[in-house]
Amino acid sequence: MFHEMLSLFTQPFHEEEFDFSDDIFFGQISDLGSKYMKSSELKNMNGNRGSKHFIYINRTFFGLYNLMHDLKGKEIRINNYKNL
Amino acid sequence: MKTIDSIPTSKIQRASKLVTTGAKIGVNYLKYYGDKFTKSEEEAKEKLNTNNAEDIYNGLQQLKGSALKVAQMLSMEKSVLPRAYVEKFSLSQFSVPPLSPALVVKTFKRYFGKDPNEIYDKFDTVSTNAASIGQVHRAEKNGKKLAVKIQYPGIADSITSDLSMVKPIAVKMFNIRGKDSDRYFKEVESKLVEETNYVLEVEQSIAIVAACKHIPHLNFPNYYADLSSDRIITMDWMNGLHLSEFSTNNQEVSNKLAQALWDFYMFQIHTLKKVHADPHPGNFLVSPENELIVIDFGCMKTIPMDFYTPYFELAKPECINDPVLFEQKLYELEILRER
Repeated sequence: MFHEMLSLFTQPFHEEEFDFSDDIFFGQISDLGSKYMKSSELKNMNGNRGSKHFIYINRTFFGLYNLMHDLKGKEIRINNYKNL
Repeated sequence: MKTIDSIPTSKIQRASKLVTTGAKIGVNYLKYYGDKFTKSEEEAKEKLNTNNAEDIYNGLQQLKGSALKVAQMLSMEKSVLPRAYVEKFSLSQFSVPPLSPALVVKTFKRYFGKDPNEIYDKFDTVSTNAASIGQVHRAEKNGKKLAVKIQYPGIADSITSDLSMVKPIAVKMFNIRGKDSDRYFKEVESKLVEETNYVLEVEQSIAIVAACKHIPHLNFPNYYADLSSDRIITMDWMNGLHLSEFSTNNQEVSNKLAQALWDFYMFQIHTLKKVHADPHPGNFLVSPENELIVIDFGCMKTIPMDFYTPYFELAKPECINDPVLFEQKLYELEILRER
């Protein structure tokens, strides 16, 4: 499960340029979200959620992706910060 | 506009507010079961979510402070939450009823020891924006237009008790169990306490602005430490539209803004290892020149190296596709633990 989410979520980092206006990508994230929301297996899982640092870092990426999608940014140069 | 003259500050007052919310949710469930007989299950469920979201929001709105902050955090998990919750909670990101002008002046005096008119040439006692833990007023000094953020009274002291009330709801919503919930709530609590410290916020803002001002198409207000205190922040007034109100058909403008936002985050995460951890639309403006403005640095998260390294190595394809390496990283990130 974790593997599936991660493979999807890290997609932008595997490219040089990414299209954040892509509804398919965000649709997949949303589908995966509702899939796990409904999954009773997950609900009853007494698993742990990892390091406490996940809370704010995941929240940051989540918010960032949503803003990038709302802005409909295309051809975003992922590693541009290195050249600044 | 409707204003409120007092915030429920005692724990009992605040607790009774949450009980009212809880009771209403109960009623909504009764309605749901009633509706279930007459309507399709899907329809009834959607209605239940709408009713619940509204009642939770109305309850939280009068609490302000940390409970509202939790609503904000919930609304960011857009795809995880039912649609009705998201719509209602998104409102919480920047419109709640403001304090009355009389209470504003009183609060300002208590925090600063002076009347706002003694400090600024002009001060508008009617606020322009209300945020989760404070509200914003327009002011002027020496011909400069300023924004003055005033923290709601009693917020800092109420965080711990607010969180202990919200905790059971959140634990249920996210299925967090046992030991984990304590660790997580401690982390959230310490961040919220940090956010009420406006002296720290001014320091962080000034530092981040200095480190990031070279990023193209990205702007920040100046912060005035001498006109700020632990509960008041004075900064430049920035003209612009909130990101959620902004829309354009010009793809070039979209790309420019999105690239600025992306660069800002990647630079913070990878170079500064300290990141603005509150990326909701209320914290960003688009200037008349179509540049991005960042206006709130209350919530900054420092990323420790022992987290940073495995987190980003995990994201690499060669790691995702290598079961052994993948498992090793999960241990480093405490998702898997030795028994």
